Amino acid sequence: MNGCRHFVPLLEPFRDGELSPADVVDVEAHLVECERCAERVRLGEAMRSSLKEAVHASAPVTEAFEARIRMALAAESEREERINAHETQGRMLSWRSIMPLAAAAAAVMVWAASANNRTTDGGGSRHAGMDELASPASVEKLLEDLVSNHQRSAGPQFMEQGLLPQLESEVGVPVKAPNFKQYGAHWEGVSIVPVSNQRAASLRYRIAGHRLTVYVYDASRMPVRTTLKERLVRDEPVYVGSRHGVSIAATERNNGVGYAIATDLNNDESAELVASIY
Amino acid sequence: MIRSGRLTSKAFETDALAELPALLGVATRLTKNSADAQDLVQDTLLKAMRAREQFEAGTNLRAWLIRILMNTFINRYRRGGLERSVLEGPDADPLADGWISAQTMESMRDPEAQALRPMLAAEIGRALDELPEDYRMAVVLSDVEELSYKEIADIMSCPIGTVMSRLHRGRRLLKGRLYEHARAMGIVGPEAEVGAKAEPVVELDQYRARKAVHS
Repeated sequence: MNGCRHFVPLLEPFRDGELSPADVVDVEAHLVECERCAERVRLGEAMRSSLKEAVHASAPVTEAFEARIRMALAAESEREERINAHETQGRMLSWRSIMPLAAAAAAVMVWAASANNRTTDGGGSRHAGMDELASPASVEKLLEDLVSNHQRSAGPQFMEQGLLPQLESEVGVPVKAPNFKQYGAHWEGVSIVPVSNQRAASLRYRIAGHRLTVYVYDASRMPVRTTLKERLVRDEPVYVGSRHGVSIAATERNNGVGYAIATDLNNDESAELVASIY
Repeated sequence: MIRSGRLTSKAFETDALAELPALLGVATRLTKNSADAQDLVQDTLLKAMRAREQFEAGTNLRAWLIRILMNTFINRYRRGGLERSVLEGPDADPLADGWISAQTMESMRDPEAQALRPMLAAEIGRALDELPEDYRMAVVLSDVEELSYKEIADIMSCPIGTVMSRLHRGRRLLKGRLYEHARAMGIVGPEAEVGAKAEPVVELDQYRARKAVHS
């Protein structure tokens, strides 16, 4: 009769389902007789399930990661479709509602660069220092950009809030969605937009039929608040003003993140909303 | 899941996304770093999407994706010669559970307090990361992702016998670590008797050959 010496090497392939039916019968017969080998198999099974747990617990697929992968794959299939459409003429392109992040960022760069060309009158430095940024004229230009982007009707580039953490590399500061639930706001989506020659995240909401845009930006580069009027809401300073019938309210956090709201609500309401971000 | 002709990108996307947990698990164990692992998975899926006509319908998509992931990893982070020589070295010590009693194995398998489970899982994750890469991958691909020896051999570009010995050695090392851990935590007592005669490692085909001679 064969002893453990013969069966031990078979126990792993047995557990792994890699033995021939004849070998399986032999091993099973041995396991009935041999508690020690039976325990070897049970320990192996227990380790397998612990390993599964350990590996999957340490590498959870987050919503943001899945969204990132979806976007990358969508961008790739769009690229393919473009090439195919090129090859087979007259074929319709199918457009996706979610634009790939890279393409969107590239478009913004081009757009921002051309906007920059229009506003710098010959010879001026592209890399505007803080003084130049803070001049009343350039701050007004900034506010104009906030307002005109708010009024633009193009849909947001991304709908998933899970993507926001990834926008930090585009905007330069962490992007978080303010919680406006208490005001009955509905999330619509987010885009990266050029403002002056900086980039900001533009978060779209809708409150009772009114459109609301929340910009998240690097406050050290975009001195939005400087030409607005300071007022205190619940002891916190916010900066409020109107341009072209659009109310703008801004606030800055200690960590250098600026928030500005553009909305067709009135100034009291926009001040209240922006103060709630504290 | 047999499809004829070119998989549409949408169909591919749906199937591939279902494998995200497996890919991220393997990538995390390879890179030991979650940011690198995420990049690796993204690269892998883009490559796979472009190469999807090469995927043989009816075969295991997970195995195919992991093969691409592994190649991408190896190309990007070339493995040093030092680790290799350790991995391919001869099996220094034979079957190590020879001196762990069935009772001890049982205590290790079944720590009475369920509260120990998360700690045990963390310990297992750490022990796994300490294994040489080839052992670690064999164990992850077999025990966690449930690939066959043949699929693992294809992914690791080695014979099936090598997969078996890597699996065996990797599992044995893990078991040793788990035993140390269990002992340190007082889940099992120290073994009274050490050094029972070592049992030799016998490859499956050798066993079959021997069996054929006897019968």
